[in-house]
Amino acid sequence: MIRTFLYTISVSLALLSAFSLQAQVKPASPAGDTIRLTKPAQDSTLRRQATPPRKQDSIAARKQARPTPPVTRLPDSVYYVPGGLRVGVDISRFALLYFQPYRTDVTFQADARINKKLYGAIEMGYNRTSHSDTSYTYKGNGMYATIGVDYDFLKKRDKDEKNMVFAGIRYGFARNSYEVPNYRIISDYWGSDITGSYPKTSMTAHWIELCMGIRVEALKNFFLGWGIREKIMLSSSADDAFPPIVIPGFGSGNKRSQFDMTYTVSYYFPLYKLKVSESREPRKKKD
Amino acid sequence: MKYIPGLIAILLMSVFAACEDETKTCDQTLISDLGINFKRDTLDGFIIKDTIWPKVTMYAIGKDTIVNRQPRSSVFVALNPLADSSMFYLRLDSAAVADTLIFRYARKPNFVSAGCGFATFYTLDTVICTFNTIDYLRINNKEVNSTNDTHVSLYYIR
Repeated sequence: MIRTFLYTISVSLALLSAFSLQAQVKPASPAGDTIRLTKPAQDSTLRRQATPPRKQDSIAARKQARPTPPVTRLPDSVYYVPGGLRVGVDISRFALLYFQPYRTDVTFQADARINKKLYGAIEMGYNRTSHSDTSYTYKGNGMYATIGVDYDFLKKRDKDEKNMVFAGIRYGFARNSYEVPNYRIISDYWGSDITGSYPKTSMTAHWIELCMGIRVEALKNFFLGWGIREKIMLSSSADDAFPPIVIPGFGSGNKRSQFDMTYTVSYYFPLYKLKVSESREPRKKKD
Repeated sequence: MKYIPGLIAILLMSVFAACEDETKTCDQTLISDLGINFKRDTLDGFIIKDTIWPKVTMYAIGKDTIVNRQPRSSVFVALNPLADSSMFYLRLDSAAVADTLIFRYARKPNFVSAGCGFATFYTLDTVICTFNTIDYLRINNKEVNSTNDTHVSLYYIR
């Protein structure tokens, strides 16, 4: 279990580092745009000069023969935006303990900027579920991880602004083990009281999350984030006769989809700058 | 803009639903009860209608009465979780001759939900009955679990 968790952490960190490194070595935009565009204009001028003018349109030809000024394109605007790693904790999981006292969750989130709009995001967490009443006793614990991307829709007022309004998609994976040390099935009509236990069982689950939310820089490099997400189960190896009460990271064990919300507090480590090149040409209007 | 309050209300409801303590409520009305309904066959199987019998009495042999002289079109009974068969007495009317039904099944403990806990689920194997008032029967669904299905239909030709 611990080995799987450590393996997941190392793979996720490696992926994030890869994203970050790749983001820094972004290829520069081709510098010869201006030459490439001016060439055809010169060529056409030469071609026109080479063609002998006919009598009837000699005036027009003379007009055309005049050298046209070369169409120059403005060079791309190149600037740098801050890039870095944002690491945080989902504090809504602690509030959840008040509503669902049988579950204890800890969730860590991290995201790194890949380019101007795209962020790679991972999330890792732990869940422990413990419930006991007159009918049964349940114990379970497990780990989960999600990995995905967030797309930032916010039009920035300043290139250094790090606030986000995002939508994203994640793939989630959880491994959970659970058991019922004792249960009772009472039938009032038949006057029966059956007791039993369910042995420790392990299960894995895979799901997809669609999420959206905001991240706001409340203090310098200190962020507050709010988000909602819909989780859709892809597959679960849980036994139909005994599904877990809680699947770590997903939620209720007997549901195929689950709505959830997050409230994160995170710190941003400014590690690198990302080169962004944008065309300064006015966008063509559609006819 | 006028939809924003509605959207916020839906979001809040979803959040509360997501935060619901599932161990507190059992959302199943009937858990692993066998459903039996009564049908009248008036034209050799071509016209079959649900029927209400005026004074239905039903109980497991040697146990308390489940239904006592009540008008019913269906009955839900609990199967014996300690044995692989259950025997029931069924009289549809005070003037009708009573029938006996024997259900044979396999049992398995099942986790219903966090709120309901465990229940015994059954898989029906055979239904044996006397044909004093009953003319024929049909097993509609062999799985007796937490769904409120009608598992067996009893037919009466009139």
